[in-house]
Amino acid sequence: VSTVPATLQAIWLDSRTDVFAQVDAVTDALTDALTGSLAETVRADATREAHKLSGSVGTLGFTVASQHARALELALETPGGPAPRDLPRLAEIAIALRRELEAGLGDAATITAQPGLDGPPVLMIIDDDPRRGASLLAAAAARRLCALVTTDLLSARRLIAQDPPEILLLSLSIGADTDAAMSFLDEASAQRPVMVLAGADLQVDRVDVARCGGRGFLACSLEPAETIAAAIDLRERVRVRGTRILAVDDDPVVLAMLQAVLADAGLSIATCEDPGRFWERLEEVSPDLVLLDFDMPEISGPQLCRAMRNDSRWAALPVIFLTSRSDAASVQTVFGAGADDYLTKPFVGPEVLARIASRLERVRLYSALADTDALSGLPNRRKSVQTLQMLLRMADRQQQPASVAVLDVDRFKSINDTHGHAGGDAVLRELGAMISQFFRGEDVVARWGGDELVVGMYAMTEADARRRLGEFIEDVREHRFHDGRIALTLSIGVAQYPTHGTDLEKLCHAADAALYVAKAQGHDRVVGAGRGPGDGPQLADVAIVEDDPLLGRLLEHALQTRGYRTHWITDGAVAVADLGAPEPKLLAPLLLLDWDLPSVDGLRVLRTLRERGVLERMQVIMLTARGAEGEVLAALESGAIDHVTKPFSVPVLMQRVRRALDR
Amino acid sequence: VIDDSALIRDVVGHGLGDDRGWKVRAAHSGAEGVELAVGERPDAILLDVEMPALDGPATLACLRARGATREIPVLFLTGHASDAERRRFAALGVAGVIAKPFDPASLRTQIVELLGWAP
Repeated sequence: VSTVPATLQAIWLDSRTDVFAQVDAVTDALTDALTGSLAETVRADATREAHKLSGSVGTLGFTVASQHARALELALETPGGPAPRDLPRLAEIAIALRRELEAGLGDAATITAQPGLDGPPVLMIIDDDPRRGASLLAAAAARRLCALVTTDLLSARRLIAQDPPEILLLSLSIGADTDAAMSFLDEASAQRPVMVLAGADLQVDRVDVARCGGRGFLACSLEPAETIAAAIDLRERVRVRGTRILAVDDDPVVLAMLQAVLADAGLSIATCEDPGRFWERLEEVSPDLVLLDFDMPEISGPQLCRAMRNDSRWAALPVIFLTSRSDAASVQTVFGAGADDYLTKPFVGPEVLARIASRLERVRLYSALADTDALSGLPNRRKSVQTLQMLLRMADRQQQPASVAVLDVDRFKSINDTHGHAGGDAVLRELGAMISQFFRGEDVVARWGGDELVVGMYAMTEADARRRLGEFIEDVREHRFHDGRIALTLSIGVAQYPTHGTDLEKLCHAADAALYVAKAQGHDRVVGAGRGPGDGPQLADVAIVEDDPLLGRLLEHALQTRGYRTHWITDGAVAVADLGAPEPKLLAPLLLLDWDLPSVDGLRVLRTLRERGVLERMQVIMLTARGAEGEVLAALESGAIDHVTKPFSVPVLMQRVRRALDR
Repeated sequence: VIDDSALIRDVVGHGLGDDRGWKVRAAHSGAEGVELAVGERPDAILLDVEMPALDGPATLACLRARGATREIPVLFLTGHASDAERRRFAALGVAGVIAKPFDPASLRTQIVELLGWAP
């Protein structure tokens, strides 16, 4: 099988379920013959299947299996079936046939690069759904991207060690439970970007995924070409080849090690062993990034870094510290000096590369948009608006939620008053570094003027975002800014797209309102949009749970122009949380509930709401697919009062809505 | 290509289509194949012999019965054709027989030779 071309292996991966069903049919017929109960129709069918098998598996290169199938076909084709004395031999052949194919299955568990695409694999797809694996592989081939598929985590680990790919695409549903996938994600993402694929039915904690370093949360339902396009985008952003690195360390062994690792990955690396010659080397090399040793004789890393930050030419140059210390005080010194990140010694090659890639990615993302704010190193308002809008479009396209947060330093004015502007500047600079380090590559972080920072988070609901920001607030609370002199807290407002705003402006407005609430409630907290201080639940005439942005907007528009107050939720889990909590965030007499939803499907939402007694005060109209009679029945049995099939006519739906509300 | 096996349809698609420059259309049954052939007027048809309902010879008869498809050369795809079978197929007027299993890599050459096309 190992000689079979990769394209054929993709077909094999795709069709093996059918092939094994054919083997089953043949084996079943033989079993019937052994018990003397082989029906004529079963025999005829089995003969046909054996014949088909022989032709198809032979075409894929299973020569021996093809011959076995042929032998079985000949034995089965005689009316009345094979002679009893031949049966043991035939059973052995059937077993050998299956074994032969299963051996091929083992090989096909890892299918390698497409023909014509030489070189090491760029993308490793880790997915145990053979159909999806094969179609992703085909999509990768169409983009001339060298990819391979593995169907289990064990061989993924082995292959990564053998021939490391640049990017991993990990299906979170792989293996027995998501724990295995998550710990793999955690370990793999330290060394290279890992994009995650998750099905709508998979219950997965998005905050955990982010914490474990998962990137580009993609829906399984996404077109393979879109998924591959996202991987290619990411690769482009994390590309390190050809970048110039200046490594500064007084230890030649460390420099030699860095040189080996980085040159291998195609980076050009210049070294500087004598910190006294640092400025000279900096001018000569004009690097894209500096790796700087923390402890050096005469002049320390932080001193050099601080001096660079004061020189407009080098102020925005990414700096990563190499340090053997990871205590809180040292970390504070690192960020206080204006560094972007730090690596603790002893370090491993892939980790160095990953950190460099992640730093360059951010620089590239922002430099593509030109202006960054010199003080915080973050993009400014005008520029980040474009990126945030890209984020919202990406969320639309990939059927994911997104959240936007507005962060504000509590009592910033008094910091400026007490510590002078140097203190205020240090706070913003260090906060800028902390926030870019804390959030992931596709998250957008920006400074919108004054002490106001904005974070756009892809694939995060408002509740997810609140938890993630809660962790950040905790980090900030523990950090001492300005060389350990200033402690501060943040207030944050979060809004979810499109639930709290269908465009960026509305979303920011909602987040701002929530920020105001956070301040009013006593600072140092994260507040989600739509919650006032001591506010009761939000009221709406019609709640909509619909993940499709187009349809959601259409429904909202149709209802609002007819004078109904609406509240639109895009996610089943959010719907359950907002409508089904003991003290619900949202009260509505009528719910339009889509059947197909990410995370928790409509039927489960409906059943949960019924269990929690919500249906006593709320009527539900289910939106189902045309011709899905089973869906309609299940919905009505689970407490829906009505259903409307998609695609629906707006006037018809409005009539149903009116009728329901008049009841 | 008209074949009820998805695997064979995919292999033919890969062996001839896409990068290799031929346009391949696939049908999973004789009836669908005839309809497709009438619409697409392909240069040649690969037709599986053993299919449920309309089998290869019956599908061939349908193709010959229609003006639009009468002249299109047809190659049979079949497992282990004996000489007698080959003679029977030739009598039906097929341009050639390709035995399954075939080697996908040389499928194109095989077709070109059987049909006498310029390589």
